[in-house]
Amino acid sequence: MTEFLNTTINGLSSGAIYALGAIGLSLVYGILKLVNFAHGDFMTLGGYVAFAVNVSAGLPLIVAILAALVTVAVLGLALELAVWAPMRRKGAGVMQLLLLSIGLAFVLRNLILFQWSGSTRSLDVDQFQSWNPFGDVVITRIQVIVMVTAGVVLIAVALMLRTTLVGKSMRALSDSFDLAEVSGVNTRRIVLYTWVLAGSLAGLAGVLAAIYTTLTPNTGWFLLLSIFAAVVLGGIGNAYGALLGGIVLGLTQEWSTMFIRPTYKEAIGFLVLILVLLIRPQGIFGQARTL
Amino acid sequence: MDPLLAFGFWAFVLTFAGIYAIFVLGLQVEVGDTGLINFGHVAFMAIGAYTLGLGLTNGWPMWLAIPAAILAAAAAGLLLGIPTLRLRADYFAITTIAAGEILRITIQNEQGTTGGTQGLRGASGPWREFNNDVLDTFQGWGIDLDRRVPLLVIVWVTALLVGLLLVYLGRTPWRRALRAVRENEEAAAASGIPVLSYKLQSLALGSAIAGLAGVFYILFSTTLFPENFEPIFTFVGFAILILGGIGSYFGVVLGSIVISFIVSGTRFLDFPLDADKVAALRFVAIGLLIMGLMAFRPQGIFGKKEELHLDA
Amino acid sequence: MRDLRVRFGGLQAVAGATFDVREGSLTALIGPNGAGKTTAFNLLTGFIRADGGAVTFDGHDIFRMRPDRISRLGMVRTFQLTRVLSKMTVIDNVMLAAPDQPGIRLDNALFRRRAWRAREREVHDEAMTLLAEVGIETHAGAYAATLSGGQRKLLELARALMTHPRLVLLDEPMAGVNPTLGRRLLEYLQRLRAERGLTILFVEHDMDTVMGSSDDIIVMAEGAVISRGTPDHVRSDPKVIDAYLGAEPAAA
Repeated sequence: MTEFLNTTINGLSSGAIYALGAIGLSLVYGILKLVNFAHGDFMTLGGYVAFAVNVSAGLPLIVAILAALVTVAVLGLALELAVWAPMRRKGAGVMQLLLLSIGLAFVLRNLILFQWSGSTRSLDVDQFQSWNPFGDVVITRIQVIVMVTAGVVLIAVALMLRTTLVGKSMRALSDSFDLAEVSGVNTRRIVLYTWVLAGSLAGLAGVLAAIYTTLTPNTGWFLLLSIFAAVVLGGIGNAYGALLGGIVLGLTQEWSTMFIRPTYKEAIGFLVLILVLLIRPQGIFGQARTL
Repeated sequence: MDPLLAFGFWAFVLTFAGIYAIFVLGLQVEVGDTGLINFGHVAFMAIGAYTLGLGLTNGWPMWLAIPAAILAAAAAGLLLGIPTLRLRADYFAITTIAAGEILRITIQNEQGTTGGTQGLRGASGPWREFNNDVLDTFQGWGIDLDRRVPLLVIVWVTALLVGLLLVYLGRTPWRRALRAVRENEEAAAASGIPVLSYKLQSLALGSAIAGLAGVFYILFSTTLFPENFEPIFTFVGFAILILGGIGSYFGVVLGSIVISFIVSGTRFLDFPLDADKVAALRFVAIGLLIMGLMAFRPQGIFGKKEELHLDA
Repeated sequence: MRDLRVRFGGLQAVAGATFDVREGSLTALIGPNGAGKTTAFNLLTGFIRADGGAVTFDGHDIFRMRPDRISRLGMVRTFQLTRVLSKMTVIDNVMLAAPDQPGIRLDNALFRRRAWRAREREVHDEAMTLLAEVGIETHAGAYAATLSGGQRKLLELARALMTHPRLVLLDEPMAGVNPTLGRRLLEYLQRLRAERGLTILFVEHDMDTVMGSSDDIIVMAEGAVISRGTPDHVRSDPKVIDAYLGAEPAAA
């Protein structure tokens, strides 16, 4: 039982990070048909901006987080205007954009490496404090930070998607771009909002990942495939699905360590990804779409 | 700069380029001919390398272990392909990375068998003997070869042979069927082409070639680490593919040399910066190259614009 | 007399349709838009999986068989929205479909060069002849992407005929083709029927063509077969008139 509770706590923590990363990736994939391989590096950038603000400049963590959100959101917007929109106007297809994003990922990751070098960094957070709520169950301060921050943001995002016009438009565009456009949605604006959302969430996910794991230029890249798994699990383009998918994936990975070697837990995520694509490509929470 | 040292260095870079060329030739069969975007290609190279490595450390002779390595890679390709080839292009791409990573993590974890992160060692004995024999023979003729030359020559001769083989196949009805599968699966099926079978053949052939690259990889680097087989390796391969031109075998050879020089060769140029930072900039350059090509010249140097099918 | 018997049910677009096609006939499949004609083609040739029913062709049970195998058995179809191999040459498009190509197998391609080289020459010549018969031989070396819509229909026809079919299913073969050429094609098809016993089932909307040239007409509406018979019979069948007037007020 202890093990179950511990792994659940672990799973919710990592799942929250996956969820934050997955929502943006899913929306961008659904609305713009862009498989953004640079998304992980957006997250890494968020982590390093937070590092620069929190450690190098000595400002409080909350400021660092905000800085990270803003920076990555701005980057997302800039790239949309400078790269993605022009490429779409040229008629670039899914694969072309995908490969372009891979090149972008190389650029971002190595610019980060250039600027901050490859050594592991840490944010100014107490790494060691933990509590024992009952018996041998452990929850660390870091996990609390991650779960609370992510939880608040995820709920806010979920509400936004459900109740605001912008949120509903995003979901509509993701479901069917043409139909939404014809129904009067200002696609240009919504696309920009989507990038702001995707960028901010990625930035936040990066900061939390930096706190929860380690901060290296590869942090986001290593998480990317698991985030893809979460996206697919929840149904591509389905923001709620991505949220739930992230949490489900995190839990699955951590629960699996009760039965198999912990070093295999990432592989579990990838196995889930493959199985979902083979058996139910629309995801557990998605509806079958005609392509 | 000591000229001999310089030669050894260039031999290193060129051998690596040759291995990459073989690797990407296999990728070309899958991507260029059949339209299969395989991001897990490095996994088949890993299978070739580790099969050879494990074979040699278990006492198998080279003439047995090498074909076994190539067949293992081809078999793995088929194994992956059978369930996944019916997926849509982008799903297939994601699946292939996932599969490759599962393999790498398994290799990493099964330390007992594969040496895991400590590396697989001890496989270089037979090759070293062979290499020494060759060097001795040439020495007997009065020619003093750098110890790296035999592998360099063998790798490039193989790369050119594989390339010629693929060019030859390029003019056959078999390849026409592959290209039809790439173009429009329904039209191909309506014309009597069993689509899945051809995709599997392409994947098997491409994987076998990757396995061959793996064979040379272990001969080249003597110790194998799972980190050598991360998805980055495949992505650099794609950079080569795009640069040379999707659909052009000659482009693969050229692209391999160019990219290998960017990755390793710029080491000799003097920059007022740390080596680490220069290394990072090299990859920024490759990233920008990929982006630039995709944006402005997706057909690469030798690809044909009319035959570009990336606008799917 | 061999025939094609088809019955498929359960799929929404086509529900419990049954018909057979007489060997050597020129049969038209007509019906208002959305009647399920193209879906019927897809089901017959294995491009869509039927939920139930049976399909036999020339004595073979081809229910749920893969499309390429059905094609090699002798039943070939063309597409309503043309599917050509755009980034290959026109002649390659046709040559692809030739039966008995030893070179199409990897082992032969690699090791038995003489075997496939000779056949390749034959296939090439035959393809050129077919292209000439449909009138696009001057485009043989061009990429299929450069062809106009009507020319693509002709290319598909040539490709279909290249397979040496017994039964050919043509989905709106004349759409986008100018009337003169269309007539010539029809005569060509009728000649093939007379000389080679080719059976033709085609979907067509132009009633003059249909009434004037078919032996037999099958009428579908809303997924089912509602009438069957000679042009005269069908023309005066009240169910048919009803279907056309009811479903599509602007159809006539």
